[in-house]
Amino acid sequence: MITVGFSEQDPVLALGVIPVAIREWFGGHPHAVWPWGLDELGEGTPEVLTMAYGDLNYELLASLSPDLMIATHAGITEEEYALLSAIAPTLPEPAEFPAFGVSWQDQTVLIGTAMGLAEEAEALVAETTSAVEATRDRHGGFGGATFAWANPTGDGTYWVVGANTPPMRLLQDLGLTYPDEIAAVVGDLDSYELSGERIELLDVDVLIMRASPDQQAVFEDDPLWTALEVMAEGRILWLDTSDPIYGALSFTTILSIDYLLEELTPLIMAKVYPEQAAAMSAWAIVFDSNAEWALKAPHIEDSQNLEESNENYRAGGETMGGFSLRPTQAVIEGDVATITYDVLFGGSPAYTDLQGVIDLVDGTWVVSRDTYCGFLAQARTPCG
Amino acid sequence: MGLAITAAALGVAVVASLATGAKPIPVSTVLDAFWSFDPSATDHLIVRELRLWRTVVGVGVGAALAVAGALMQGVTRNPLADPGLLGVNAGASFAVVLAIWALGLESLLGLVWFAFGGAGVATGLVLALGSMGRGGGNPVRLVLAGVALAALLGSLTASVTLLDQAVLDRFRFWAVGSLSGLDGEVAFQILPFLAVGMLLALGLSRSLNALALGEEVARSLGIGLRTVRLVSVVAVTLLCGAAVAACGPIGFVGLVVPHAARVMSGADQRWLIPACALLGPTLLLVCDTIGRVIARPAEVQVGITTAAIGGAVFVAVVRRVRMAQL
Repeated sequence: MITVGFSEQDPVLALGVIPVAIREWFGGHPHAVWPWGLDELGEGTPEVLTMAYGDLNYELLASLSPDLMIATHAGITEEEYALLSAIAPTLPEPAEFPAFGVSWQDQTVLIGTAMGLAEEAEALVAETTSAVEATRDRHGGFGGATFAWANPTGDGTYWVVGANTPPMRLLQDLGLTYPDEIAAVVGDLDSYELSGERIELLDVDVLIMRASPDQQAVFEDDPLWTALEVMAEGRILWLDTSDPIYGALSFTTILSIDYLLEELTPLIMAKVYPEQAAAMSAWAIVFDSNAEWALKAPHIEDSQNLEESNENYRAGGETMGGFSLRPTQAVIEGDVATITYDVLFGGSPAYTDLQGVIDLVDGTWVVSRDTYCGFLAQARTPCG
Repeated sequence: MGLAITAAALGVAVVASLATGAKPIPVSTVLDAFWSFDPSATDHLIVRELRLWRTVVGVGVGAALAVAGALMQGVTRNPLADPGLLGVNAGASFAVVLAIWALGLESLLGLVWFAFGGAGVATGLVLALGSMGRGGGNPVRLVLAGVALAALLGSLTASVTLLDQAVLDRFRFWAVGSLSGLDGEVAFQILPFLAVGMLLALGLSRSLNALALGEEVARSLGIGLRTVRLVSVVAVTLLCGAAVAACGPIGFVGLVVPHAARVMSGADQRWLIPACALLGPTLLLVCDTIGRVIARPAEVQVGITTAAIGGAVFVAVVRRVRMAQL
């Protein structure tokens, strides 16, 4: 089995199969497997194939004597498909999608079916679908905030990603809104080169921008960009191409979506609902047994008398691989936020959907002494 | 008289370049951007930050390419000589891509020296090739050598970008010239090089006039041919290198403009160089303005519109006017 498309290592690994060889898209990770696929890869050592788009090395592929080749996200022509099929049965892109447009659901099921693992594939898709829905519901669909994704071309124009692409479909499934004004310009294209004179179209609620830190600094200094509210209010999510979140969005596969739900949604949350995000972040820091005291203290009432208790909490956590809390939702009413959270022991969820309260005091989210000590008591660490 | 008309045409082209773009902005707003600038008005910012520098650099680069073309045509006595056709721009472009890929350079001031190196080597090489063999400069041989060199350098550039996809991202600009995304810094950085190149070109006028009468005559008039060729190479290198470093390879301006200028000002280099310096920017700005309008709200790179429009103009010039014998 060889993955000839650019993202199929993910669904194949998710189905429990290690490919013989993987065509690398970008990133330069060992075995062309990104961080979100490492658990599934395990001890596997697939070969990495470096073949630029439109440049298939048929002799190399034939020399690996594959039993199946997967090209659902490969942009291959009919001619290329015929040549590949002469080497081994090849799974092409489904006809109803444009090149590189296959949905992660179809991709997973098609590959599963070709591998004789249709049921497993359906189950994986159902699981991820409900994870997406749960994330959407937990964040209130991000209030339907508008979003866009733009990649600077380097000469003053911007590639704007189209609505009918896997990453943009996923973000819409999470509740975000692809603005009509952008859709009117981009049309059915997978990306559109927008003139620098029209960046006002990118003034959305959350803007994803590909940029290295150096490039980011240039934009932050550009009066045309600082004139946009999205820049002035810090609602741009800057992603360098080496950032796994950038990779996970580009992939948008059955595996990378889990990673996105965990890593990207808090970032979007922080852009759309900065107050809720701040409350959740304070809550998580205070009850992370490994967080530094200096970071925790501003968020704990009467903290000067609680440092010793915290040290006991840290020591207690160490026996369990560390206590941490994962906030999933914050509902703010006045100066009070109710946080919904999971408790993790050594990174694994132990209790889910618990609730606690944190207060806004002089602009800082603070856990009351009672709440703090109450939680510590449950962890069998007495207070004061 | 001819110069006054070309100057007026350039003025119109500058105004058009400032007044049009991917975003429709009323002319009154464009004027306000200069006379009563409001830093919080997006349209004013677009005019001052994007269109102004684009126009300024366009003027400089258009003049540089046209003058370089006139110089090359004069020194080779070949009506088809052009920095694009003869591989000078391709040489600069290749050197720049190589510097980005191998050395990770990104700043214009660093890259411009590589552009000079590439342009200089390509100019020297193509002039040497063209004047080799019996009979000296055979126009067809020179063009063939130049086209072959340009093709070779172009494919070398393409192979570097295939080796490294990251270069490809930054390469678009070097494959097809563009005036988009320029700022004041670029304008100020290339200005000194363009100015020196222009002065050298003007200084060569008398010698090139003599050379137009034939090498024998030129020699008998006391013109040092080696010096003339060497200074020409330096001038062309400065003009084309700076132009390519700022906005990538742009073809046809250097080929078409000198022919059109000869129609208006005659073949006297002392008039031809200033005429080219006015007509080159006019053509480039008109092409760039068209590129910004035909695909709103996207843009077509100026390298593409000059090829389309410059190509058509060239055919018209060749058909209507008996190409001045050089």
